[in-house]
Amino acid sequence: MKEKVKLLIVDDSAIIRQAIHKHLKDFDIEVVGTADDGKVALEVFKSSHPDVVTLDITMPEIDGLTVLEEMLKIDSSVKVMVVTALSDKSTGLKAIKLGAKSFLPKPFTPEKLRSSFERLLD
Amino acid sequence: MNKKKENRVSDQDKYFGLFNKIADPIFIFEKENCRILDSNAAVTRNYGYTKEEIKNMSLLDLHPQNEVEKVRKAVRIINKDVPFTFTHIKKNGVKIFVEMLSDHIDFEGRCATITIVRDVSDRVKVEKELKRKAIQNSLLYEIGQRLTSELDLGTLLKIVVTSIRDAFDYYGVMLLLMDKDGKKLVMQSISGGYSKVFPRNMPIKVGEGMIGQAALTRQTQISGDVTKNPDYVIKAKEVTKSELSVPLMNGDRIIGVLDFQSDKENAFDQSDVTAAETLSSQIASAIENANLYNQAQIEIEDRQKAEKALRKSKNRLQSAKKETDTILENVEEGLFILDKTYKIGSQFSTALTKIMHTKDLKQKYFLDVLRVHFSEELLENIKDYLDLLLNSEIDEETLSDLNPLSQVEMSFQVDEELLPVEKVLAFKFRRIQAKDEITGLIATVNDVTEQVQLAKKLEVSEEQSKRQMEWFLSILHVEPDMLKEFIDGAHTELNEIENILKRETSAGGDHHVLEKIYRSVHLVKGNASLLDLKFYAKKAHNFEEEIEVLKKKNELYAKDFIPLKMYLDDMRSDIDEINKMIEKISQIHTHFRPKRSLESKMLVRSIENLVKRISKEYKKEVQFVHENFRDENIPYQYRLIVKDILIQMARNSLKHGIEKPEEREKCGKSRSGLIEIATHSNNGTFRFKFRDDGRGLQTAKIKEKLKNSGKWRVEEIEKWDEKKIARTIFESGISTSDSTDIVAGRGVGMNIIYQKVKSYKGKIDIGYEKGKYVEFTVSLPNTGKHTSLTL
Repeated sequence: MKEKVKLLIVDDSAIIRQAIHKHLKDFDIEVVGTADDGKVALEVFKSSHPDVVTLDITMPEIDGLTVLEEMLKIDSSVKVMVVTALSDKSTGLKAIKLGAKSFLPKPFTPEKLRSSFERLLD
Repeated sequence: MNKKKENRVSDQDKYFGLFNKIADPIFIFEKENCRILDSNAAVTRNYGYTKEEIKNMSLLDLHPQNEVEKVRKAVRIINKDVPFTFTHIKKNGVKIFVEMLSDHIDFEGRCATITIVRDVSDRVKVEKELKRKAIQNSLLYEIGQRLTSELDLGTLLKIVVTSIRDAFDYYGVMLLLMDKDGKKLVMQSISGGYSKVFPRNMPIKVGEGMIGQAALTRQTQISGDVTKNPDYVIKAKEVTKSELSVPLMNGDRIIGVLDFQSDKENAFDQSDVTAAETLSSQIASAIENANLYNQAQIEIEDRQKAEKALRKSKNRLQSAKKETDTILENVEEGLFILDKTYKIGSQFSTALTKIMHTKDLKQKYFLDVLRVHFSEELLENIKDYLDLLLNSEIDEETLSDLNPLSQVEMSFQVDEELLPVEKVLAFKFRRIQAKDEITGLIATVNDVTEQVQLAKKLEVSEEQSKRQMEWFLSILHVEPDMLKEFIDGAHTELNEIENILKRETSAGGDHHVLEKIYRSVHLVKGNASLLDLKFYAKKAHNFEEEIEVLKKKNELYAKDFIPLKMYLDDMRSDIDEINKMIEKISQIHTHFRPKRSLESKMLVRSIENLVKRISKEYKKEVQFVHENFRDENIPYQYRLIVKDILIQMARNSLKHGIEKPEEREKCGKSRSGLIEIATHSNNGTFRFKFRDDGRGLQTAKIKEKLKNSGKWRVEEIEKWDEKKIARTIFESGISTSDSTDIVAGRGVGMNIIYQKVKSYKGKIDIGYEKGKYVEFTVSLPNTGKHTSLTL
């Protein structure tokens, strides 16, 4: 049997975290952790070794781009989907340049989330 | 006679002596039956028979059976000058070719024939050989001729073997050519005895048998008796006795083997070898010619094919180019290609030049073209995005969300236009992939200005329908009668504004006009707020703000009032819409219309709601007391004004009068403030009061405002007593609030109330104690013309 995709959800909004979890339920995933700020995110990341991370960029403590860089330093194979405001393309571009594999603009529809996630897993 | 006899004998002796000494055999035989009468010594010597044996033989016995008749004939027609040629068989059986020269003689009285025989076997043999050579040579020539003129290899090889076989009468001739791999020979053609025995394409390994040896050693192989040749290999049921295998050489290269076979032993001699080798070299060069010819032929065909294909593809390219051109000329979107350095390709759509207002795009760097339109930061983002498209593994779909040019506002300075042309453009980029490599980007750009404008319009209309829904919901919460009242009131005020605008602003106007309009708008706002029709209150508020702007102007012209007319129309159309809605709603309401007694409670309840709402907004705690307010006592004609007054007073009280809970506690008051309303009715006067337990009137603050308003001289104000100062709150333009908001703080409200009360010949009394309370008592003459709701 194929192993489940281990997912870490990082977002300072509980609603967004729940929404991501809920809408990705149909994929063969296991949520190994959630975090509401960058510091916690890195701790959970180190302990849970996720395959995929959804990462909010605007967060308290450590900002998302720094978190992204740290994560890639620890595990360069991790697939990170950056979640940020649609209008903030500049940050999205920076994240992709740093090594994020996907970009999900907020606000997003469940369909958009799912299709982006599907492409990320491919 | 004796002498004659002696001569005759001696002649006879001489004759026999001579007869026997002649080296050639001589026969004397009876003409009639060819019986041998005499023969010389040479006969016994040459034929092996004794003289006695010969005497009993016939000449015919010496000839083979098939010559006998011929001999008989020849004997009859003997010509001493013409020799006959026959075959004789010796005693030992050996055949010899003989030339016989004969003459008639009389032998011992008999008619006889004398024949001198010469053995010509050697001569015949040589002649035969010469003849064969002559034929061979002429055949070689003929084959050579045909070989050089025949260029088709298949035909050539067939000719070779057939001609050779026919010409030389060999049992079998085969031609084998070296295979491409150089390891075996393959039969190409065969003629003669083995045509049916050996299959075509029969392979023979290099080195195998005599043919293989010929190829391996490049030497002619000859064998007179193949059974004794160690190299010989039997391939099928052949009856070969002797074989001749000649290599076909082209320079140093072996190209095949020509092979001759015979069912007789020692069938091939040196002349055959010479002929075969001569033929071989001719064949080899003919094959080479044929090969060259074929190769040339193939090349020519290939070239023709290539030319044809080229012409075809050129035509296709031309028509494709034509198609592309047509597309590029007619497509409505800007279409162009960017190479890996983001240089714009030489072909792009005509629409692109129109969209970008320039034809100068060929080979220009895309980012340079954009530079005049965008900030450095945005350009940086664009470059990042294009870099990611070209170089990253991330799919286009994901990246498309990051496209900084997905919708951008751009302005173009067009020569003939005074103002720059503002546009909204949408760029899209796709990868051009050749095999696995991204070779560039194909870009499209569309002018989406209209779409964006439409979308904005749509948004506005959506906003409007959302607002209507909001109206509908707020209206549903309001009693239809109260709404009716509100609409009637609003209509009156809006008509008033319209009249003012028509009458007094045609040639500009003064601030007095503005003031009048302001009051009416403010009244409508208050009522909308009372009924919690937020959207309408907001509209009135915006109207007020517009008037505020005008108020600040020193001089007012007719055009300054145009925006006011627009606000007015807007508010009026909304009122009409609300009216229509009410009609619909009232149809619903008819079925469960509240009782009149309940209806009469509406005014109090709506004031109560207002107090609750506004106190929450200002974070104040208020208790609303209305036990003594008898709604039913209000004369019908005063219902509107009473409501207006109560609204205004409640707002003022909540804004200025009642303190915040903490402040109240500091002053030793209860946290919660108190607002009380009550009615009194006697002696033809309808009276009602409004009281709060707040700060009272802040006369010092009012005094300051008065001084700052510039309406009166400061010295004059100083002379005024407390009461006079208190009453100025009914003057226009006086408010103690420092900021304006939708609820209170414009300072017109009290003035409007005062004007209205005055117009009804009523009065307002103020009572207050600093820090304790303020109480307004409004008295209105009850003429009795109108009945109250209870009657």
